[in-house]
Amino acid sequence: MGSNNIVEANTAVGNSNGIVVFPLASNNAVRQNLAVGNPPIQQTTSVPTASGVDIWDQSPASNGNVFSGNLCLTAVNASCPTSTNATPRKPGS
Amino acid sequence: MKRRRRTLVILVLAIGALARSNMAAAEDISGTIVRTLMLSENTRLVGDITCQVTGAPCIAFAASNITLTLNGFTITGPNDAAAGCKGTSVGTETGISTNAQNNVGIRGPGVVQRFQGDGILFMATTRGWVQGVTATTNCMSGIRVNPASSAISVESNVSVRNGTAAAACGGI
Repeated sequence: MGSNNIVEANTAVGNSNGIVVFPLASNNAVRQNLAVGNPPIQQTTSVPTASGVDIWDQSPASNGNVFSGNLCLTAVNASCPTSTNATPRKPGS
Repeated sequence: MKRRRRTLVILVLAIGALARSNMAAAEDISGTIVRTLMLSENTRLVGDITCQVTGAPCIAFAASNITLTLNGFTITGPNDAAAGCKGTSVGTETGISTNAQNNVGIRGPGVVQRFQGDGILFMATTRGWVQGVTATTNCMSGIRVNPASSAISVESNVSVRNGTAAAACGGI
């Protein structure tokens, strides 16, 4: 991901990782997405070294990427709010 | 005088309609693609597409300010339906690449599946969007915005079962 992009109201399920923000990315908004079940359980058991998560921010905090209202269960450098606080938006709504 | 004015209004409307039809020029595509299809105008699918392109994108934008409409159809790459990406990714074998064109869009609903690289790749693009697309069983990301792209909107898409255990990419 580059800069000044918006990732919104998407659903990411059963991927190696759900949503990944790469190291050079800056000033992106990742909001109201549903990212769960990444990686899929089949991959987790057959490849125990796999380290995928639902949301993974690989960029430094100073890059200004913002995560809000996403529903996820696992994340690195990004928050997974409790399900009652997450506000994922249904695609198309 | 009144008749002359009415004629003038009709003439202006006709010229406007002609101009609009030129702007909305579109190409309809479907069937099998064996070498990269370069898009130079607004394009829509009118049937499913099967891709047999190796070592290059299946579909690539060749002009800025145009849109690809999937129109509810599916673009399928060469990967195996059951095994997904067969464990090996090939970065150049993208389903749809924006190919450094600006202000381009990909509109769903529609499916992009079974490519050895990314399903959809925003490559060095400024201003662009993808909306309402399902990307599944691609070896790299379902939808990827590369570091040289900016002002891209990825909205209301579904990304399922993309990526490999070896690659740090995935859904989006």
